[in-house]
Amino acid sequence: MDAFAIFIQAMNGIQYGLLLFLVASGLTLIFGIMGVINIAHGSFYMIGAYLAWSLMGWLENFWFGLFVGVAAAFLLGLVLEWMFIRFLYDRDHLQQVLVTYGLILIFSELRSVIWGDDVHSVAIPALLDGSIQLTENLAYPIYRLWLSGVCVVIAILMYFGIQHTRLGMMIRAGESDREMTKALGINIGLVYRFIFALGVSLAAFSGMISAPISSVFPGMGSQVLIVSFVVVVIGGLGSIKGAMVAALLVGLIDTFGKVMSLDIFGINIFPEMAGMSIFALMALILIFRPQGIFGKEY
Amino acid sequence: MRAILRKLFFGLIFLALLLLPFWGDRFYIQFASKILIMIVFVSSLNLLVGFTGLVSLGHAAFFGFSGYVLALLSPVDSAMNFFVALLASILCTGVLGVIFGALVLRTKGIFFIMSTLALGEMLFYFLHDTDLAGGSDGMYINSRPDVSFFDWWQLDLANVVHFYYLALITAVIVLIVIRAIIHSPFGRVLAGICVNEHRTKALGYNTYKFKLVCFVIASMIAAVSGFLSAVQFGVVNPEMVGWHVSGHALMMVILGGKGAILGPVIGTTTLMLVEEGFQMVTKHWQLLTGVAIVLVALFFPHGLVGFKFFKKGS
Amino acid sequence: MDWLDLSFLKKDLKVGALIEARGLTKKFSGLTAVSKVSLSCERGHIHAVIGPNGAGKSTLMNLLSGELRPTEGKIVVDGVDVTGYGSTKMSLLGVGRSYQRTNIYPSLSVLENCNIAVQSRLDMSMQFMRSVNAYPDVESGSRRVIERLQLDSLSYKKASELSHGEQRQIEIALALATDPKVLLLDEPLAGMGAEESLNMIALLQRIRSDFAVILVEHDMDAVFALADTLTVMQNGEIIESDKPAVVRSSPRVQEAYLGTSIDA
Repeated sequence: MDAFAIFIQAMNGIQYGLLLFLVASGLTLIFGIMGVINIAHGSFYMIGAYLAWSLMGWLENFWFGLFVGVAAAFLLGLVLEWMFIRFLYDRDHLQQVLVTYGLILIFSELRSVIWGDDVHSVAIPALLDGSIQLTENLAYPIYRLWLSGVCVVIAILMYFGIQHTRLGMMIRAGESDREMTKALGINIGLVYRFIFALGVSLAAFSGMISAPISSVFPGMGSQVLIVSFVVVVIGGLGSIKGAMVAALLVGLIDTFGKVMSLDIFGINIFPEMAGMSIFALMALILIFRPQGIFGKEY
Repeated sequence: MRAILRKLFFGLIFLALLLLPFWGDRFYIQFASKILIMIVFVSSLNLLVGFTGLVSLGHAAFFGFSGYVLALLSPVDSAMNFFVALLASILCTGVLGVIFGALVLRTKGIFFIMSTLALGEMLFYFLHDTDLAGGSDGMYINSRPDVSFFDWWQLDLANVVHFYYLALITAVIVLIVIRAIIHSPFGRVLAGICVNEHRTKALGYNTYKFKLVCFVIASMIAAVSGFLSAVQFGVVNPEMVGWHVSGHALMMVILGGKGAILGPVIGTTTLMLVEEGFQMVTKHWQLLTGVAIVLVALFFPHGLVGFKFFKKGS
Repeated sequence: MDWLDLSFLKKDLKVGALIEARGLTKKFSGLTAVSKVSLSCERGHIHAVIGPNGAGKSTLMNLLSGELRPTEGKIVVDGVDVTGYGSTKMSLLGVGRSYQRTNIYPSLSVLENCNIAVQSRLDMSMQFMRSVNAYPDVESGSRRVIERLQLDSLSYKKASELSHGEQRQIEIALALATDPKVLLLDEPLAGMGAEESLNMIALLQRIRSDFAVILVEHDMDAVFALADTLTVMQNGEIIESDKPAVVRSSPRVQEAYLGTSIDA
């Protein structure tokens, strides 16, 4: 690989990492504030991508579709919180895992009923369709740049919100504490519903904006969920900074791992195993820093 | 009175299980074997979830891995001795259990759940993406192992009735073993860890060590079920280690009632029968399963053994 | 012989402090919770630590029991330097503790609570194929502790079904059942009514001769009834440490308690 190719792969890795950050931060947000482990989070990403595919088809306008999709996801989040999640706050992790696992099955089957099991692709919006010419024969797509930019903006907003609001204080504490929330004089029920819906929209939004660059396929939800779990374990809980660093790390390692087949001592061992590099990273973190890079000791 | 009824009830069920091959259709005998194998797997998960408080979402890794060990070991031309093959599968899976356990047990709570899922999926991707063991298609088991005690007695594993009895005996043995573990001094420490790990640590127990031993035992029992499953179907594939297997098993633990030895028996049988029913109704039966899981987790967190009838007289 | 009776070991004990802290300091990211605290306690003595909320008493207890690692300083138990040992090792070396917030096994019976504690002293916990019934020593040990605390009638009750006062006694029972040399009692009277408090004080009087006891307590009546030595902490530091009668009249202590008389 020459320098430009490395540069392009690095850009791709960062862009993938930023996208992962959006998904993983929703997961952290929901756990950090409400104490609920939501393994259906990946389903919302998948729903987002399928919504993007449908909406762009009907509305024939990417931006309007994006808006409608996020609004729909937010509504879905509100309804789900009201129907299921609000019963889980005082329950143990096992029940939370099971209820959200049930939701995964429901969403995946509904997806199959509504959209079928085919793989689809979504067109890049005309406005962002094109590339920036880097050298004579290397170009970088504008859409990917835009996507990274959007993620960075959301990350900054989120960072600001967490550093400078009372709710953010609770997230930084890393542990949900209803007593403390009460002490702050907040209507917990409403705040929780809002936060959950926000998390759902974040995941769905990530799915929507990623649809044009990856294909839309049935297993995309669990794939992104598992990688987000890896991100959270590496980054440590209660730390948006940790989620960001871990997401970028995972994005870069995964991207480079897949491009350069793994050469150890000049022997090429299982080029396919490169896809497992992020799990190897997680194993290393578990050995040397089980609380995650930025996590507090427990 | 209830105690007697209870004994009678379980006695009758066991008798029915013994006699099942005499009136059952081939399909039902096979299905019953499938349930028995699953009971073994769910019981091993219950040891972690119900008796030690470790919620693992990656337990299927051991189920599938054990099957793969058998598939990779089976020679092309001749059958392998059943007991040698079983022992090899259990030991290899146990080694994997030590590695995974040593890693994931460094975390707690939600991190434990996440890292077990991630490690399980790592195995999935490994089996799915490499050519080592047939990739995404999985691989056939060349020859079913040969169960014979020297020359005087032999089981034919391709025969559904023979296989059924093998699964039944295995399930009973596993339940007895788990019961022994729970009532041993080791089981007492597990109970302590399950209820209050902090205090157990402060009382002088190296809880990490106890959890690791428990994790490895559970992985080895899971290996028994994975081995039998591979023998029954003659094929292994990456889906066996996938997290949907773990999720379903977790559901069976809860449905039956975690922390009860018979919980997995009741939970597994119920869910598998119900799912069989769902499959007859619609091809989107997973939707119904999902709804059932949500409802049970929300409204029956103590499972079916929570019902008085199944409880030991108080 | 019964295993709880370890008198054959105890006769070898040196006279002197069973537990000693030298210059213990604990900092939490800049904040010093405990600063250069030194104290010691010998067998049969009760060393009480008092001070206003946030004085660092609980942190001190967590340092002594190995639940926190000191930033600086040394802990010596029975002549062995145990600095940096975790709570598990500390327990095995003979440091038993009770917690301010009841920390027992709520879903288990009183007997089973004690069984777990007693079993920790016997080398059989890894035995996973034999029944607990093969080891009657555990249960007889538990029964002895339960008898000693006069809790016999509660043996088969679930801990979560007991009254608060009874649960506090189980808290002590768990510590005693590990046959410790040193007892760290973190507010044993927390949340107790008057009668329950008197019972607990009587209980501590009954058993005190066998242990070196370090006691953190807010109830001044109890402190003055029990303590041989009284240490007063404020802002993580020791401001006074002497016989209770001496401490009571110390002007510095009076000031620390903002003029309120501490024997009120």
